[in-house]
Amino acid sequence: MTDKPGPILGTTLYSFTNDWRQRLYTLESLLEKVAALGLGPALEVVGFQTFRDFPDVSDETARHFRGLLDRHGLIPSCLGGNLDVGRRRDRLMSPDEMQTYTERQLISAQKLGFPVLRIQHSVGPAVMERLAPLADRFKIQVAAELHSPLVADHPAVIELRECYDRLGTPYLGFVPDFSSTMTAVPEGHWSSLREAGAPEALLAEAKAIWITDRPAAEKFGALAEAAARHGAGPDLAGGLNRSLTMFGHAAVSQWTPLLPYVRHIHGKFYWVEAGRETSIPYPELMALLKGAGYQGTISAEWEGHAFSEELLGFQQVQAWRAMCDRLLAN
Amino acid sequence: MFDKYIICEDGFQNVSDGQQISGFQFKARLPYYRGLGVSMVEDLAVKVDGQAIPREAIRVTLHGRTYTLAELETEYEDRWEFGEPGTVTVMKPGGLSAGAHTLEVAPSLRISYLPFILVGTDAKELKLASA
Repeated sequence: MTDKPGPILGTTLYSFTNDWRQRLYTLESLLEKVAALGLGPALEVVGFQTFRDFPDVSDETARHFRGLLDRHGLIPSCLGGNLDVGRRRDRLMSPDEMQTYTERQLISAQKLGFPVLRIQHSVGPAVMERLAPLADRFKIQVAAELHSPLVADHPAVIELRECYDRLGTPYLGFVPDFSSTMTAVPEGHWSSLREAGAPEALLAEAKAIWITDRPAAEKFGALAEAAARHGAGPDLAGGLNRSLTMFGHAAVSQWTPLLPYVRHIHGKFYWVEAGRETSIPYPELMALLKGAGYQGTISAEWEGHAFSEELLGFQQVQAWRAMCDRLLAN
Repeated sequence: MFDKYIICEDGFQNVSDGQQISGFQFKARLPYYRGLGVSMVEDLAVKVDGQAIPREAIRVTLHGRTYTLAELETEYEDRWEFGEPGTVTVMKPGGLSAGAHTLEVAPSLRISYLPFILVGTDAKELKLASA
C-alpha cells in the first residue's frame, strides 16, 4: 500500500505583514523570498492587503500576479476576501449588497487563479446560496472563515453546513483556523497587555475567564466587568477583548465534522520554538488531518505581528514549516 | 498595532490657499493590516501641541481626492489602502509657527468583525518644513 498524498503546505503573505508594513519588501520581492526559502508551493494573499485595485482587480494586475507565481513555482491556494458588512455606519449591508460585494471578489479570484475565496462567516446561509451559481460556474470554492469561537457545533456553523448539504455543491465550504483549538493564550498577548498597563491581578482573571467553557457572550461580559473593576481604560479593555476574539480553546475533535467542506486551512500560529508551537496542539492537529486523508492546502499564518513589530515572520514561518514537515512525516 | 506608522515623518508643512497661509498638513497611514473602504474610518482625531482640532476643520486627501470627515463616512467605493500615506489638512488660518510641534493622531476604524471600534494613536514631534 502506498502512502496517500497528504496536505499541501505553503504560506500566506499575511505572515510577513511587519516586513511589508516597514516597506522592506514589495509583492515581487516577498514572493521571491518565499520561493527561495522553500516556503511554498501553496500561496495565499489577502486581497485588500495585496492589490490596490481589489475588489476589482484589472486584467493587467491578474496577468502580472500569475506571471510572478509561475516564475517562482508557486500555486495559488486561497484569496482572502472581506465582507465588510459594517461598511455603512447607519446599517449593515443588505443581502443584495453582500452578494454583489462578494461576487466582485469572486471574479477577482477567478482572474488571479485562486481555487478558494475566503470570506467572513457573517455572509450567512441565505447569501451563500445566492453565491453558489457563480462559484459553481467558476469552480471556485467560496469558504467562510472559522475563527474562535466558531467550531463545528456552533449554531452559525451548523446553519452553514445545513445549507451546503442541501445544495450539494463542493464550491461552498469553510476555511477553518487552528486558532479555534488552542491550549493557551500566547504569552506575547499577555506581555502586550502588561506593557499597556494591565495589572497582574487583571491578567490572572482574564486567563481564568479564557479557560472556561462559558458562552462567548458571558465571557465578554465577565472580562468587561473585570476590566472596569481594575480601572482599565478603553485601549486596555479592547486589548483584553482580543483574548477572546483571537484565541479559542475548543477540542481538536471539533475539526472532524468540518473536513468534508474544507479545501484550505489557516495554519495559524504565534510562536514556534524548539520544534513546538507553544499554544496550539500541532501534533494532534497534524495527526488528525493526516489520518483523515486531508489533501487540501494549509497556509502558515503567523500572527505574532498582533503583539510585536519585530521582523520575525520569515524565521517563524521557516520554523513552522520544519515542524509541520516533521509531524506529517511521522 | 502599527500605531507608530500612523504619522509619516515627511510632509509636515503649512499650506496656502494662494492668498495666505490657510492651514497645515501632514501625511498619515491607517493602523491596520489591509486597505479599508473610507466609510469605515469613523473619525480621525488630531491634536497639535495638546490642542484638539475641531472635526470640521480636517480634510483627508487620498490619491488626489479630498474629503471632509463627514464625506468619508458616506463614500462607499474609495479605499484607504494598506500603507498608503493620505494627506491630512487642517484648516487653520495662519497655519503653525516655524519649528517643532507635537502631533497626535488617532484614527477610529469600524471593522465589521471586531466587536469594538479599533482606535490607533500615534504622537510624534515633527519640525515644520520651511515654506
